[in-house]
Amino acid sequence: MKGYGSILRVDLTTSAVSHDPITAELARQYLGGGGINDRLLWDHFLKLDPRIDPCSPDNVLIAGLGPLGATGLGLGSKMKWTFKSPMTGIFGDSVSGGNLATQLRWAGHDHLVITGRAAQPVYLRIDNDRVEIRDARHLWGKRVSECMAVLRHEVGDEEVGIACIGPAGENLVAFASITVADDRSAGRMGAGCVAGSKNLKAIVARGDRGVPIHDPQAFVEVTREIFQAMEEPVFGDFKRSGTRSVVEVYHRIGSNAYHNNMYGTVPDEKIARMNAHWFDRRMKTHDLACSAGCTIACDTWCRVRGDEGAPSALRFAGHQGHAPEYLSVAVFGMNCDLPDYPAITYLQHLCNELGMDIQDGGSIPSFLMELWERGLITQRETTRWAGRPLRFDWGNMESVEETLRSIAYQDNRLGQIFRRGAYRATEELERELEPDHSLRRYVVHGKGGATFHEENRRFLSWALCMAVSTRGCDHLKGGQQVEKAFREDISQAWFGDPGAGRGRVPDLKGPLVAYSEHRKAAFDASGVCFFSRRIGPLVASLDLLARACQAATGLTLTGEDLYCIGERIYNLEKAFNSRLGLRRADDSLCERWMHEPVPEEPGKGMKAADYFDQILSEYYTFHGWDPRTSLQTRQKLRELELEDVEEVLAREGAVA
Amino acid sequence: MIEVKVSYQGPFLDITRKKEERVRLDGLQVRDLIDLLARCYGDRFKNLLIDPSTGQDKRSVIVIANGRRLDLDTELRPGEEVSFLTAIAGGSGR
Repeated sequence: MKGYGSILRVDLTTSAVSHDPITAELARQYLGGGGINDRLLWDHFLKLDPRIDPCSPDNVLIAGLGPLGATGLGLGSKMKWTFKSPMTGIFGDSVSGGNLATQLRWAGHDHLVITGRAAQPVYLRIDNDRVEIRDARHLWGKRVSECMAVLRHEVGDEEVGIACIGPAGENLVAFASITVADDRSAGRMGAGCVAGSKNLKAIVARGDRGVPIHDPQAFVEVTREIFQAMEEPVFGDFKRSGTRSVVEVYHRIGSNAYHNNMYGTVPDEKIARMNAHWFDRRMKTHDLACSAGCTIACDTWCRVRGDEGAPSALRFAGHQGHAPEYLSVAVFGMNCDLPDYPAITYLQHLCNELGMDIQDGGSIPSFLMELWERGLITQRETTRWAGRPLRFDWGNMESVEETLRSIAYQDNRLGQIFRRGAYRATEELERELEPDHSLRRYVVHGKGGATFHEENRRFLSWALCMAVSTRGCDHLKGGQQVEKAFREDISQAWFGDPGAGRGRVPDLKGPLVAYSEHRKAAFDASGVCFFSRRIGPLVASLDLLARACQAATGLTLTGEDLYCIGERIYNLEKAFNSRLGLRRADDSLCERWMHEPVPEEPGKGMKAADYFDQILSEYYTFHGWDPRTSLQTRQKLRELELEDVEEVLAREGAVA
Repeated sequence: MIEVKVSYQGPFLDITRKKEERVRLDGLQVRDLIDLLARCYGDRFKNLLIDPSTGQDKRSVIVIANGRRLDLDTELRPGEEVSFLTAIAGGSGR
């Protein structure tokens, strides 16, 4: 099919390499990227018991880039990684920038499907049609930047696309990430752990063919419209400061979490040291695009001079690298109470070097700090675990570093206790500490994984999207800016009613999350960066995206068709989890969000238990799922042409 | 006459070149505050907030106090902290 490459399959057990075409039917139903990945995952697990250990050779690691990725459209190229998650045991996926995806697609491979387990550490070397499985024993144990430097030297190509795992992935840390191009990561859900379990240290790719476009003139026309849309002021702000611009906005609307989310507001004087303005004036050197074909370039390069006036400035003087994302500021700056940009920058880099998810990794020291404050752990325990008397008082940089290092290397009890994250560590901690109540109430989690570190009790659609997300607990399935940015105009356009844009009321929050999940799935299937929605969801619309896809591939597509593809994709992810036994009771929130009231204004006293059941039922109803069990109905599955999925679910008692 | 504390972020900060200031105004509505700031910082400031062709407020930027969006005709209270921001949410793409 024009506009598409092939599916490259590599079995690391047998060293077999094969290619499958992307058929017109597969493209019509799932478009590409995350969509086709999901179908490949579903098909893979038809031959297997889906309850297998995610670290077994039977798991699969799929990487894919949709038809708009690696083109000159202007909205970036985001690769989707899909697998069964070792972190949560359910559907798992993650997204990365970097140039691996582009090189793979230019080599003619839109999807890479890795199965089996190599007998010893290996890396994949892909050079256009040539695919080799190479010895990686000399790379095992290396941190990410050193591994990448050796690989670039080894293949004699500085521009080659690379993804690799660090010590965390090698040591099967459940939330290990795959780092792509230095500081960009497929962070969430343990993609690096799956790679580590397969003895796969790295993927190195080079492609020289480019991507054939079905109708270049129409494609350029859409590109022009996108450039025109970038005149919006919100776009300029995002281009300059990336996700860091969220720090100040969240401070004003009440969406920053503080001290392991014991509080939902960060003190003013600390925000003043963590907002984008502070960083941009002192540490930013220039804008960067994290992936090919991105004109937004929300990434930033920075350098610590040493005279910034931050506590760690002198220690990290001379450090250069990618600027922290909001996530890193939230995790380390706010929840561990380190309002210190040089330190936050370093800790983000450290997580990427170790090959570890910032969200899960960073939630562990903040959880330990809460236990410390409550007197549930002391230096007696930390000495026993780490071999030295670590203190976990708020803002203790040494303890944060040592926790992350210990987990990645698994060389002491501290690291071993937390190998599978804070939530699963509580069982072991309770046995050891014998507290008079459950420690789980202090873990901010969802489905066993860390959450995105924001105050969500005040924002109903965000609380809901965290509870229902197919990949566990975060915002990158059904999160959107409609409620937090009070966008009644978007609500009006999507639902004919402004209600979803009204804060702190349940109006339309269920439909808002379901609708956003479908839109997001469509974006992820197309190959562009979801941050392009920052141009404005009404401007960077599905209609515009559909026209771009049509010009690129020749598929006949409207915005409505694209929405339907997104809905089909999301339903396939839901079906995967239904096979694993997930039902309504699993779509829930941690105790802190569900039952502890927000301690401060705005929205003082809000807690999810007061509104959650109602919006959850409305969410299922909008999806066309059964609100009692959460299961998909036969009618919905047939509507989406998923009769074969219906058949599997019916056989396993997982359809309404 | 009331006094409010005003803070600026992003494109607003580019124009005002100060993070925050105290402002005294005669009127009570957000519209009055914007008119006052436009006199001080020029139409560029106003055009960020209001579409000159329609007179409607733009939804991609927000004026906030106490965690709530303010409309043009919302009445301000003395001492209130008013923020001019871009409407943005979500902070990780992984």
